[in-house]
Amino acid sequence: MRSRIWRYVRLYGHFLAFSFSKGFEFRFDFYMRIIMDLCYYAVAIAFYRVLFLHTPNLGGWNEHQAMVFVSAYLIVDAINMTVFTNNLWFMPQLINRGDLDYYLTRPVSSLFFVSLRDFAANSFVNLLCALGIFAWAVARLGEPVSFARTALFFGLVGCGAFIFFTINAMANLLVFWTHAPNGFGELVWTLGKFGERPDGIYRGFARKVLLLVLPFGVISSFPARILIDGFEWRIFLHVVGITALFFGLLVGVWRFGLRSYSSASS
Amino acid sequence: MIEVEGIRKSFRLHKKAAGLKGSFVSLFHRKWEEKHALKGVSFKVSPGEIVGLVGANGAGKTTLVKILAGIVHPTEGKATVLGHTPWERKNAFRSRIALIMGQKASLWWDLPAEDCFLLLKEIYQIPEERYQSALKTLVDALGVRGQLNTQIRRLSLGERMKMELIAALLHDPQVVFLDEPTIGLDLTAQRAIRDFILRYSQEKKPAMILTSHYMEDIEKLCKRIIIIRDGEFVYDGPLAKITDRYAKFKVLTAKLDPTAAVHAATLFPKGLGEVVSSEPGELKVKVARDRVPEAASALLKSGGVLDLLIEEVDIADIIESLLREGVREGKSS
Amino acid sequence: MSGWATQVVSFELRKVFTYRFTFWVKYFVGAITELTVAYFLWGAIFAATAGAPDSAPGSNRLGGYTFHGLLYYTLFATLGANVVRTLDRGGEISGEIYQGTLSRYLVYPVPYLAYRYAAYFGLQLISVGQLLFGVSVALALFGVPADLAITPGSIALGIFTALLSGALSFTLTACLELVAFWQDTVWNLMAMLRFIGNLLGGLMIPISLFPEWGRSFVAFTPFPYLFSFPIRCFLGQVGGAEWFREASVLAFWILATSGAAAFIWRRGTRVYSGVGI
Repeated sequence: MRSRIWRYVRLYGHFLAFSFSKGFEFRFDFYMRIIMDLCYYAVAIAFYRVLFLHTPNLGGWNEHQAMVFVSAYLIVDAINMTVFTNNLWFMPQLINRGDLDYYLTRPVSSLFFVSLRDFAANSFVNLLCALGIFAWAVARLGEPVSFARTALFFGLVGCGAFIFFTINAMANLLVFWTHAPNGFGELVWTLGKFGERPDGIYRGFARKVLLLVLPFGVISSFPARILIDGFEWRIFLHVVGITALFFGLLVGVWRFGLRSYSSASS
Repeated sequence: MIEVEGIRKSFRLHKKAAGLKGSFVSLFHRKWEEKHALKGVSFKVSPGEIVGLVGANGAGKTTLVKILAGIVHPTEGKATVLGHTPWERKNAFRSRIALIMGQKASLWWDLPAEDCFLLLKEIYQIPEERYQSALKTLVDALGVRGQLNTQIRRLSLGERMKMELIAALLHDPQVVFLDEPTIGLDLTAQRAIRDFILRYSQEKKPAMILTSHYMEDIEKLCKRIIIIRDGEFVYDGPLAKITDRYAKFKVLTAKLDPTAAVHAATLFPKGLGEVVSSEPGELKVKVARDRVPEAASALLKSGGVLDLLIEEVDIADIIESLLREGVREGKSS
Repeated sequence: MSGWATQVVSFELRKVFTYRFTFWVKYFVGAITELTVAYFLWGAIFAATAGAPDSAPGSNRLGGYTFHGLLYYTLFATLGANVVRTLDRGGEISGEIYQGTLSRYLVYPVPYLAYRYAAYFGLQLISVGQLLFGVSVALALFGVPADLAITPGSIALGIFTALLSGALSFTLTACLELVAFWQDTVWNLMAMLRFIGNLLGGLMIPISLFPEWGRSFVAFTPFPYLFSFPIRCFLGQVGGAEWFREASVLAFWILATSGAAAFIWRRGTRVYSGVGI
C-alpha cells in the first residue's frame, strides 16, 4: 500500500515537472492569468462590500466573517484552477475523440491520469494571492485564530476543492453516453454559483439539496464555519463524509462509463 | 497466448435529417440505427507469431484490436489474453501488453521523448538497469539517438513513429498490438519500421497482431493473415496458402519474336485458357492451375516463343478481390 | 440582410439544435440557478433588515426595488445577458487565428468580422426566443410586481436594446480576440472582460445599489450600456427621451469599439502568417 502511494506521488512529480517546463514557455499567458484571477478576486470582494452597505449581516455572518468565507471560496477556486481545471477541460475531448485509448492500456489508474495529468503551473501564483486575501480577512476578524483551527480550515478547504472537482468530473463523464461536444461540465460550473454565497442564506428543501445532493453549500462555507465558530464534530464529519462519498461515486461512474467507451475509431 | 471466442460488438448511431427542420425535429425525436462492427469472431494467436489483420475501412479491424487491448468492451463473447480478460484491465495484464496506433500519439507533444520515457519507466515500474539496457537497444535499433532530447512536436512523422515504438516496447511486452504503424510515412521510414518489427519479433518472440493498409507490410511481416469483411472473418490461415486456395489460375507470359509474322493470339489453342492481352512481341494468358503444363507445352510447340514466364496471381490482388467480393469458401475449413 | 448572412444565421440555429440536451439544459439550469441564488440572497437581506427573519419580503425596498422586483431584475439580467452576449463562450475568432483556419475565410468574398457578427446575431435570436419563453412563464406564475411597469411594450424595447448592446458586446470582445494575432492565449482577456462586465454592468447587483462614487464611475465606462441599460428597458424604467439619450451613448461606444476592432484587424492581418503559432 505504502509503496503504491509513493509510486503515485512520484508519478505526480513527473506531471509537475512537465507542467512547469511547459508553463514557462508561455510568458504572456503566465502574467495574464495572474491579472485575470486578481480581477476575479476583486469582483468577488467588491460584490460583498456592496451587499454589506445595505445589510448588517448575511446568512448569520457579519461583513468580516463573510470575508473569511469569500477567501475560502477563492482558495477553493485557486486550488481547482491549479490542480484540476485543465484536466476537466480536456476530459470530454479525451473521451469523444477516443484519446483515452493509451491511458487505458497502461498499468496505472486511468482516472488518476486523466484527473491530474495537467498541472496549471501558471495558476500557482494565484494560490498565493488567494492565501493573501485569507490572511487579510482573518486579520480583520479582530480575534486571534489558533494554529490548529487554521490547519483544520486548510484541510477542509482541500476537501472542498476535491468535492467540487468530483461533481464537475462526474458531469463531464456523462459524455461517455451523450457524446455531446463539451459535456455538462459547463452546467455544473454554473451550479457552482450556489457555493459562492454563504450556506446560511439557504432555507428549507434547497438547503438540504445543497448540503447533501449537490453539496455546493459545504465546499467553502463549512471550512469557514470551523474557522469562525470553532471545531464542531458535526461539520467536520459532514465534510469528510461527503468527500469520501463523492470520491466513491466518481470512481463508480468512471468504471461504469468505461464499459460504454466506444473509442471513436480511426 | 491470445484466445478469442465468438466476439460480437454493436454500436448505436443516431441519424439526423439534413437542414434546419431536421435539426429541430431531432431536438425532440431521434432515430437510432444499430451497427454491427464484429459479428462473432474466433481465433488464436501463439507466441512469436505475427498475425496480419486485413480489411477495408470500417470492417472491424481496429475495433477488434481495441477489444483485445482492453479499451472497448465487446457486446458478447469471450477473450483471454495472457490469461486475463482484457476489458477487466488488471494491472498484471496491462503491464505485459503494448498498443501502438499510427493515427494517435501517446507521447506528450511539448516534451522531448526521453522525458516521456522516464514517465513510462515509472508507470511500468521498470527497474533502472533494465530500463537503460532496453532503451539503448531500442534507440540503437531504430537509429534515433540524436533525437532523444528534441520536443516531440519538432520531430518528423517517421521519427515520431519510431519514438512511439520505443515508448511501447520499453517494458518488454509479451503481446503487441500494432494498428497501422506505418500510415502516412514515406517509403524509407516504412521500410525501417518494418525491418525493426521483424527483427524485434524474432528476438523477443511476442505475440503480435498487425493491421495495415499497406500490403507490403503484411507480406513482409506476417506468415498468417486474417481477412475481415463487414465484421466477419473471410479467411484465416497462412499467407502462402491463400494463393493455393484462391488463385485458381496462373498467368503465362510468352515473349515472342517480333519479326515472326505470326499473329500472337492464334498461337494459343482455344479452350485451354483465356487470353489476357495480346501485343506484338508479348502474349499473356490466364490458365487453370492444373492445365499449366499442357498450356506451356502447347505454347512452346507453336514456335516463335523466345521466353516463357509462369507467375502466380499477385497476393495483393487476391486479397483485394476477397475484400470486395467476400469469397466465403475459406471460412468452412 | 444579404443572402450569405441569412445562411450563416440559419447555420448557427442548426448547430444549436443538434445538441438538443445541452441546449435546453444550459438555458434552464443557468436561469434557475441565478433565480434561486437571488431568491435566497435577497430574501436573507430583506429578512435581516426587516427585523423578524420570516417577515414577508416586499415590505421594504432595496435600491428602489421590492423583493419581487429584484427577482424580476435577476430574471431579465440572466435572460437579457444571454441575448447580449449569447450562450456561446466566444473564442471562435481567436481560435481560428490560432489554428490558422482563418485563411479559409480570408479568401471568401465576405468581410470576416461581418461574417462572425452574422453568426453571433443568429445566436442572439435563439436567446430572444428563450427570453420570451422564460418571461412568459414567470409572468404567468408570479404576476407583475407592484413597483415595476413591465408591459409588452417595455419587453419589446428591452429586446431591441439588448440586440443593440449585443453589437457592443461583439465589438468589445472582438477587440480582445484579435489580440490572438500576436499572442496565443487570449481567453483570459475575455474572461477578465466577463468578470468586470458582470459587476460594473449591473448583472450581479443593480447599479442603483452601488455607492454614489461607484455609480458616477461606471457611467463613464461602456459596461452599463451592455447590461444595465437593456435590463432597465425590460423593467419599464426608461422613458422615451431618456432612451434616446442613453441609446446615443451606446451608439457612440459601438462606433468607438468597432473602429478599434477594424484597426486591430488591419494591423493583425498584416502580421498573420496563416499557420498555427
